[in-house]
Amino acid sequence: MSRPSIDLALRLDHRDVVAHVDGRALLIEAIRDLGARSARIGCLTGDCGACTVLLDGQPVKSCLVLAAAADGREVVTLEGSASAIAETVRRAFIAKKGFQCGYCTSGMILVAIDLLEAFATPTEADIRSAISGNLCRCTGYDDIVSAIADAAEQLSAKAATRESPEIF
Amino acid sequence: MAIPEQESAANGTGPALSHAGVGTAAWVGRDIPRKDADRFVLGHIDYTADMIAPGTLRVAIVRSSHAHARIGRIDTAAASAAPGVVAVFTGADVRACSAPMPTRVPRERFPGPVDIWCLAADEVLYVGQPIAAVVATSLNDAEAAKSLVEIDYDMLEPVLDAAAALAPGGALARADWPTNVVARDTIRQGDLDRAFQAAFRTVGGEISFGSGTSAPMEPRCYIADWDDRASHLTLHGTLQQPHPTRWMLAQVLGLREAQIRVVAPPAGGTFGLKMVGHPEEALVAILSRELKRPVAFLESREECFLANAREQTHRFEIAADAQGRIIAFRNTIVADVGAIGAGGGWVMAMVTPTVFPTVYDVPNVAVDAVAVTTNKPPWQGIRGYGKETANLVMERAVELIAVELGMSSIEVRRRNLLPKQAFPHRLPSGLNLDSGDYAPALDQLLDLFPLDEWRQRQQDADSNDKRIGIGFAFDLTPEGASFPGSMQAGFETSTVTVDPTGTVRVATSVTSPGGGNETGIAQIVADVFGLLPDDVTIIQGDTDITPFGTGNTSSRSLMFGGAAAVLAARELKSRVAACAATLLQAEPGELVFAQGRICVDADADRSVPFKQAVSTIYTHAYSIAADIELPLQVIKTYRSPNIRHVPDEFGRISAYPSFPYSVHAAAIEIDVATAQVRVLDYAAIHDCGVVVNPGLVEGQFRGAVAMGIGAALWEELLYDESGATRTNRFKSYVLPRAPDLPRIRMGHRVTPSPFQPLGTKGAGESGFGGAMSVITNAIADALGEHGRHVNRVPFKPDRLLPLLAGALS
Amino acid sequence: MIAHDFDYHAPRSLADALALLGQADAAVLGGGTWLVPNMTYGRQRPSAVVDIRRLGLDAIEIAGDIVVGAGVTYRQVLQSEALRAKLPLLAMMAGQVTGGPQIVGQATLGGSACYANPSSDVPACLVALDATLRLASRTGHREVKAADFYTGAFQTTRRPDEMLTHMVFAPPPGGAGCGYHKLKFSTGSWPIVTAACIAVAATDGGPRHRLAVGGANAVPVLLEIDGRDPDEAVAARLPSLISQEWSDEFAGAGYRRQVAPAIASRALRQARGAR
Ligand SMILES: Cc1cc2nc3c(=O)[nH]c(=O)nc-3n(C[C@@H](O)[C@@H](O)[C@H](O)COP(=O)(O)OP(=O)(O)OC[C@H]3O[C@@H](n4cnc5c(N)ncnc54)[C@H](O)[C@@H]3O)c2cc1C
Ligand code: FES
Ligand code: FES
Repeated sequence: MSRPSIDLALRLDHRDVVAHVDGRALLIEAIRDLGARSARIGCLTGDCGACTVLLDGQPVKSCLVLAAAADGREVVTLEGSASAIAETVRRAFIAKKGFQCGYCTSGMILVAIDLLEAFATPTEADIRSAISGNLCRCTGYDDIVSAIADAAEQLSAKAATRESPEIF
Repeated sequence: MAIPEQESAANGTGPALSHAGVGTAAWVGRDIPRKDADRFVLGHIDYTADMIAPGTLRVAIVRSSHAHARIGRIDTAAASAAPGVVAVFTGADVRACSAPMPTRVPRERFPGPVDIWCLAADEVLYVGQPIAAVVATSLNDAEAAKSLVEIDYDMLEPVLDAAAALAPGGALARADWPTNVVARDTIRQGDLDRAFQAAFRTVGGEISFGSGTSAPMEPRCYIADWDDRASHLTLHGTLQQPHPTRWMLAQVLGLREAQIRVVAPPAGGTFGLKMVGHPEEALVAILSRELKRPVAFLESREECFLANAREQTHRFEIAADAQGRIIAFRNTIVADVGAIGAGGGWVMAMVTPTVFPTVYDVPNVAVDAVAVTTNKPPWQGIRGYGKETANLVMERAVELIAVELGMSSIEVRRRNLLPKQAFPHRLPSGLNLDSGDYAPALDQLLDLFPLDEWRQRQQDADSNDKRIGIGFAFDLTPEGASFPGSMQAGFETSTVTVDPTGTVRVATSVTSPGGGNETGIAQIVADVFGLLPDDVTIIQGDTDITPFGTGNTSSRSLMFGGAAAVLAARELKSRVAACAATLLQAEPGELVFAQGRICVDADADRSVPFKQAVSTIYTHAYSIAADIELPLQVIKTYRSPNIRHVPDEFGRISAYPSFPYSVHAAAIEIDVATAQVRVLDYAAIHDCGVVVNPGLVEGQFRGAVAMGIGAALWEELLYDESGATRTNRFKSYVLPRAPDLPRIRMGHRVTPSPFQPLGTKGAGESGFGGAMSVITNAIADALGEHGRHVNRVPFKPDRLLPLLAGALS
Repeated sequence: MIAHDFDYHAPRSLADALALLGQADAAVLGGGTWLVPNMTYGRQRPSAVVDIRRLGLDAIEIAGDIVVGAGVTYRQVLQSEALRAKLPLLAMMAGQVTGGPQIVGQATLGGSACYANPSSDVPACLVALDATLRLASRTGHREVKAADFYTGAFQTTRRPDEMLTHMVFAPPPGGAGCGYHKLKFSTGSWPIVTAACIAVAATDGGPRHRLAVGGANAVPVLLEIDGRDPDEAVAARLPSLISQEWSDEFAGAGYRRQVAPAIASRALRQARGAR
């Protein structure tokens, strides 16, 4: 006996994919089966944020999205995230030890990128609030907060050099 | 925050970074980035669940809905016929094809039989115990068919708390045991009665702890793959202890170890949860062998909340003389360890009594502990491992006696802390404290924590609206557990190989829970050879290529696995030195290994690249290297000289070799109307001996503090009247989130352990108990005179509100 | 991981959606932040899921009345300047929703309104703002006042074949102030008690307050209080209005009733101050 399955067309990490998936699948399950394994499963209740991806550019917890509801839409995971901001955030996570086991890291980095794209000079409270939907059991968050603050500083330093008029 | 250079120097605590001749110490002590850091931030790490190959069968587990019952008929017909289902297994099926799981503690130590099967065969002991396994081609189908398994139960009276367990003539949590008492310990030192009679002041109290759980972000997962033609099993899993798991599987499956390979991929946090002994470890292996197909189990978050720990009650009394010297302490502990499983989680209850009287010099001590089994889920290992509750009780006792004495508790601590020259110091339990420098740590903390400012703010606060509380607490965390007669026997092994191209490989028995111990091990080995950490590859978590050892528990990774690697590396170094000496026409003793070269100490121009010396050895086996043992591979086991399994004159052993400590200060605020608590400020000083990588140690410590704050304020497993876990998701078992915590300011001290070749101590659990304690003391402080009634952790507002009302009236 | 079978629909017209809702056991899917995990853990097992995403219910219209589509997310509330100006209470509430930017962007007001979880923010706000809920079904449309909508914990007067399409608010009179206070034990905890308040200046005898308390009771509790010193009135009247006190893993019986007046007073104070 087989279960109803559905056809799913997605743009996943900048590739068009078409797949036949279990009609009951969650988006997190479907994309992991399609190879996008950097999105992790931590709770399937929307609480931990390990499954965070960008759906049509917005950060979402992909365990709260039915795979079927993502048909025809664009999904970007940490592996597909490659902007200058993303790079800066990654470097900062390494330099400030913004991870230990790394299980929360995909989600943390994606929300950090989303924050810094919207908001160049976040306060510590802004950063803590931006990652408040993401649980980390290893770090106690300080090193993650430092990493994001560090990335913000580097980005605004870069922006400042770019914008400053060349009169000197 | 790096170690301020002057700080370790100013403390003058000895030859910190190049202790005991590690070599040039170019890397030990440095905050270098994690190995494989790129893979982490790119999302390229594969955890166990990422390794479930297409075509793997998935298992869903039918769990007991009753706390205590005999299983009657199980009807699996409908489930077996459901879509996608390949097989349904029951306890009877498992019995027919395997043996019981060995317990981590020898069976003889229990008061009754302990045949533990991965699926309950007859009697179920807790809500959530596995009864049947539904195996299907997809997890969705396996889960869907679960509800079709019909189970008849004959109810037995459940035992749901310690009082019921100890009630004379009361119900038994296991029908085949004569008692609910699993274990007892009695620790005595000095003459308690006399001391209490002679005391200037005495005071007592009671503290109970709710249940907690470790809740790593990665749930458990096991994948078994039985190769029927080769009669060989491979198990990939979220396993802290691959070798002990192989030992367990060999017995369950009746196989030789050589027929089993156990692999532990990178772990998404463990905190004790992933130690050996979960039923599903054995279950997937049995299923795979019977079905001749790969089978995977992936734990749901709800199942993860079945891991129970910590519930216990202490009744204590403390006595002091007129000078504020603590002269006696006694304590009675009753722990409800839930059902007994194959794992060793319940042992935590027997660790608690051994830690008293922590960092204080108390001549007369009595501790009586009893662990009782009930029909709640089994205890699973959790950070703190029983030491956290001992610290909290001791720190409360110190606060209470300070009030009686009319002295500041800081002053009472000062008068009673063990002085540096008192080490090594034997605790009443037999544990032998390696080293410590407690009082200066307290001074250092007061530099970091603005006590006067907080006292001022406390006075200024409108006490009808918000109350501020300030707390202090010491924490002593025995690390490196080594229990005789168990698979936690207390040694770790590393095989170090220098390969022909001159790179180094360390295969070690210690696994990484995610804290970064591989980076630390690479640093210390790099220093032995004068190489870069990048030249050193660390291999962990594969029983086919790593030597035997316990794995990762009790912060043993660097302490044991690192030490073994250093011993092996030193031996290899001397072999390479022998060759280099020939090449350089020098004595081996004159050679220095640094920056990838081997040079004659006095003469920098006479040198040879490390790579060249190694290559010469591999290619000149009959000439230059004729006397050098080949290949360049050495296996060493490290056993701590500070572990004693032979009982002393008091009949006590010492199962922990290393004793990191910390001292904490915190300021909290209580909203008077609601009893909601917020943590406003936090500072701590930590000393785990020689620090190999400050960033790693700080990360561990901050993580431990965050967890301790969570355990003091929000985290509590609750059970309903039927024994079912009520708090089964992150919305009801609430972990700290980033906005809930202040920045944790920390400083280091370095008091090397004289017993460990590098002078290091364990780091990982250390700080957890201190955080729980300091929050408790701060809350009690906020309650003023009524703080003495603080008697239950965590401090849920509904329990705190009546105390607060008392404080105000 | 959802175990049971269901059909997923994302209709493009309300009529199609309502036809589908007419089937037994169909569930409306808003942001899914409740429905999907409930399906994952087997607590809701609808045979069909009707996604409102393509129905155009995600608009905020301000022309006289303020009409907020059921599919509007907390983020949309926060980002709409016009709505923030007209109904600052909604924005205050949305600004305190937890779960991170993901939930703020995923979850809908309509979903929260219909789920009727006592431990949530939206229902009491709707009651305080005297919102009118527009419900549609195959057989017709009707309007219900928020105060009449909630009948019990997780229970409303919505029939299974009805969909919430819009929440309609009359603009508060000029000069009205508002306050929102939420008690939570930590970022990850549910709202324990919430208080939403609108204060309207009155000519004599002080302001008039419309106060709704959420979280404390199975359904939101509404209080209308006149006078300059409303705290006393709250302390006197609120506890007895909490007739079906809510309790859970966070706080046992008695706690919410005891703390509710303090939370209400804080919202009242804020509403008066913000005017
Ligand atoms: C991590 C996390 C944090 C959260 N924090 C908060 C918080 O701080 N405060 C708070 O109040 N809530 C919080 N929530 C709960 C949050 O899910 C709801 O507040 C949310 O608004 C529900 O909306 P939804 O669109 O996701 O609902 P859905 O899950 O889509 O639907 C919920 C229910 O309502 C029904 N439904 C949905 N839309 C309609 C409609 N238009 N007509 C009829 N029926 C409908 C569904 O069938 C379902 O039964 C949180 C949730 C998570 C996961
Ligand atoms: S797995 Fe989606 S939030 Fe945890
Ligand atoms: S690094 Fe392990 S959960 Fe965050």
